[in-house]
Amino acid sequence: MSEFLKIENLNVTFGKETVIENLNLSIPENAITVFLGPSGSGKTTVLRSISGLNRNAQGKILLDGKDISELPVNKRNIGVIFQSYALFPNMSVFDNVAYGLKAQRIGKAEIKQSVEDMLKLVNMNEKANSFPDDLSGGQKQRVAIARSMIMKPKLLLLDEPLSALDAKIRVELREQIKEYQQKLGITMIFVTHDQAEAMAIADNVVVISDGKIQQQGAPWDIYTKPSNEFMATFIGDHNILSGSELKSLGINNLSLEQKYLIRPESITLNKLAESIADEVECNGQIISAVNYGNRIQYVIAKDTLRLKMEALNHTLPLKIGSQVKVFINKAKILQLN
Amino acid sequence: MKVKKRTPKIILTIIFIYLLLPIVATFLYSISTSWINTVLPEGLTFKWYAQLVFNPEFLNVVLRSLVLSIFTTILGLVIFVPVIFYMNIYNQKLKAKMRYITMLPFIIPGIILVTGLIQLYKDIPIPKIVILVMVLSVMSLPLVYQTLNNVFISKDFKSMFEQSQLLGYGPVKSFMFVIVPNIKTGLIVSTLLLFSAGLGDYVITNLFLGGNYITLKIYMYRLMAVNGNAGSVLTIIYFIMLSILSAILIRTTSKAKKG
Amino acid sequence: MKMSLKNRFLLLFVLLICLVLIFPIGVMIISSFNSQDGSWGLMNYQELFTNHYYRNAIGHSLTLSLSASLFSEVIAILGAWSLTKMSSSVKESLVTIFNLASSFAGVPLAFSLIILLGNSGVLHVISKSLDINILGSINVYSWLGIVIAYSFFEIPLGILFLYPTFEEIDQGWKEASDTLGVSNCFFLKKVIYPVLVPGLVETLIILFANAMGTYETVFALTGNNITFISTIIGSLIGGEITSNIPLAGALSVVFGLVMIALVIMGNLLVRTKRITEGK
Ligand SMILES: Nc1ncnc2c1ncn2[C@@H]1O[C@H](COP(=O)(O)OP(=O)(O)OP(=O)(O)O)[C@@H](O)[C@H]1O
Ligand SMILES: [Mg+2]
Repeated sequence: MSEFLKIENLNVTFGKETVIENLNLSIPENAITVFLGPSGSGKTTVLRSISGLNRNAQGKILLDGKDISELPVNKRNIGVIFQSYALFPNMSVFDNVAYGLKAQRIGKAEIKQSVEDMLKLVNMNEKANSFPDDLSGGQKQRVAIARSMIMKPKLLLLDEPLSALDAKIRVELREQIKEYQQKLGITMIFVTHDQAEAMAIADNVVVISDGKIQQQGAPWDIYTKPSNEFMATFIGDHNILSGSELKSLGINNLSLEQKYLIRPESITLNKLAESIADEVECNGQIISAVNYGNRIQYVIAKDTLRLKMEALNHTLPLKIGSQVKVFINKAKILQLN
Repeated sequence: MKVKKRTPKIILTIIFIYLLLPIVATFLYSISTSWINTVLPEGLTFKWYAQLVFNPEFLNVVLRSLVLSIFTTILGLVIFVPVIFYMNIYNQKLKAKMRYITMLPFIIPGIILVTGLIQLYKDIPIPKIVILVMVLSVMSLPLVYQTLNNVFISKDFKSMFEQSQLLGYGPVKSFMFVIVPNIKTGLIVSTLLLFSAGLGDYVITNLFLGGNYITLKIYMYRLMAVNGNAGSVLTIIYFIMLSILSAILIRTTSKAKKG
Repeated sequence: MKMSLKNRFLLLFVLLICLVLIFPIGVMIISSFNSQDGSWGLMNYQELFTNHYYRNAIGHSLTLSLSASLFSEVIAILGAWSLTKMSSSVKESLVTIFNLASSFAGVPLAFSLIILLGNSGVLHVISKSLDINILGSINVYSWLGIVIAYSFFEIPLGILFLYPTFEEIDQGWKEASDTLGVSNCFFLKKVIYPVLVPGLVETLIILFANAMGTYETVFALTGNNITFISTIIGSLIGGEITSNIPLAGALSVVFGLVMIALVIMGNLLVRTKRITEGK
């Protein structure tokens, strides 16, 4: 079912400011959908509207075919993970995770069993009797995730759940989240600022800017087939050139007024054996070099044009000022509309 | 270092003795048989205490004061805690406006307020004691507001409150289960503030109720003229009550700071 | 119409505030323009400012409050400064004691003072039996007596309010001497002027306002005999023959205006303090 969650004509205003205007969106079941977008674009607002926390949302929200727009927060069976964990400091890890089950009519023994299983899954079973203040950030977030997942929510919303954690834990935890998702078959919406994180975890990406959906699709498509200039510049590094500029580089038969996208990795310093036919060669001068560890990003100047390109960092870096020959893969030039 | 500390120590000791002098004198007076023409009292006795404590009127007075304090405390807690919570979590704009209102009882002393109260309620058939309870709780609003405000900005209560609802609890249960246990200190301090407001008021209770509801302080005032010994005993008992209240207050706040 | 829970609480709160704060004050202001025989006008205010009795009372209140608050502030300055030099556990217990002392006002304080300083009070008894005059001319029922009475709750109150200011200065002093070596001029500009002066004035305003509003202590000491704004209001509404509630209202309005002026002054000061700190 590709319309597990369906949002129709969502409108959100705060005071006089319209934050979300006529937003329509469908989200597939049993997959991770990532919301990506600049700060202030309305991602949190959409999540809060779905979960019912945002009381001035107008529009229709259908979950699994049922209209939930009028249901109060505690009747929607939607889980939310906040960046700030929101653990209850007066309860132990065990009680935090058991909290939601206690609201339902479930026997004590059964609750105990489920909580223990869940804590084992998130690898926190040894900390069951600790209190939130004694846990690290990563541990807290694992407890928060367990606390939401134990409710078997129809939908789990994660609002930048990893932003407060350090780089290593982030990668670890995002992989675990993906694993839980597959194991338990929960549909998730995951908000992040981090494009690498988005690409790594997503089955489906929704890019939002200014309260509007710019593009939705698989991560690969979002990157390789950006639907407009915003998308091209927002996701990944980019060179955007007009047809006439490309002509001056020796690439003909393109529309002169149109704009085109060339990803930095489509430009190389060496001829690639397999794509000879598609390559255009031109001369330029290196004016900047930034070392990213495994790769180096160069900026090459040709007359007034600037081209960003990347090279793997396995040869000695080229010096700034050196004259180089670059090869542009013609097949990878994308027309933007 | 020690020499440096001597002056402040002397100053504080003098201030301390100065402030304590009336209480010490009252205490000595309250346990003396008679003290008329001698440097020290002629003899010591607890008979004034026994006399007062076993006086049924005294018990009535204490009861009345307690009733007033308890209702003031309950009303204040039931209304102020949720409202201040709500303003902090969901309505910062309202909070900014409310600041001025919460300051009002600070600016307007009881003697002024009671003038208006008497006029407003002279012909309205609401029991005046009900109004009095309301007034006393509002008079302690500035301090209660400040206390609770500090508590509510100390943690991310909004997320906790929302999370509890997401986990299936209604707003009232969420408030009871995840907010109340985490603001205990603030609640205890507010309770004590409200309670002392009920216990300590004289002006409004006396003038508004026209002296018909005799509380500790009113009783004390009446005893002053009639029986100095009994009055001094009551003063000491009142002082001890205040001391206990402030000791609990400081205990709670300093524990919260450490814990 | 179903009202949400939060709105019900808000409504209750607003109702409570209106019933015991806004409405009474409103009624008081309106009726201050009403005379006892039912006509409307400024006669109550006219009366207040032309009748010597009331003019004197206003004058008494202002001068007494000023002297009591100044006297208490001077001692409180010494106390607050000394308090910053104590170890933190001593500080904590002293703060408790000052807190207690500041709330021990009104009837019990008046009574204690009468026992201590009154005509047949402890000190009198002692001085009589020793045949020396310890008390000098101190009389609890007099002007000086009232200043002393006020000082018992104003000194601790002043210390509680001044103490954070002195802590701040102490810190500033340490920082200045750590980082720059001590330059008096710098210290004066950076610490004394922006921190100490507003702190002192603010506290003085609080003490002054507090003294102005005090009714219980004077009343318990002197009855309605000494004329202050607060005791006159008390006797005007006390249900005696002199009772004149509209006049009490007018007096209260004047009083309220003085208080508001003081608070605005205090706010302005805090703002200038913040601005200078911003620089
Ligand atoms: N409670 C509120 N009151 C007023 N305006 C709000 C409120 N919540 C959000 N907004 C506004 O709505 C817009 C979208 O905010 P939102 O938090 O949804 O953005 P976001 O995409 O989640 O941003 P970020 O990535 O920084 O978290 C912002 O302009 C914000 O100022
Ligand atoms: Mg957000």
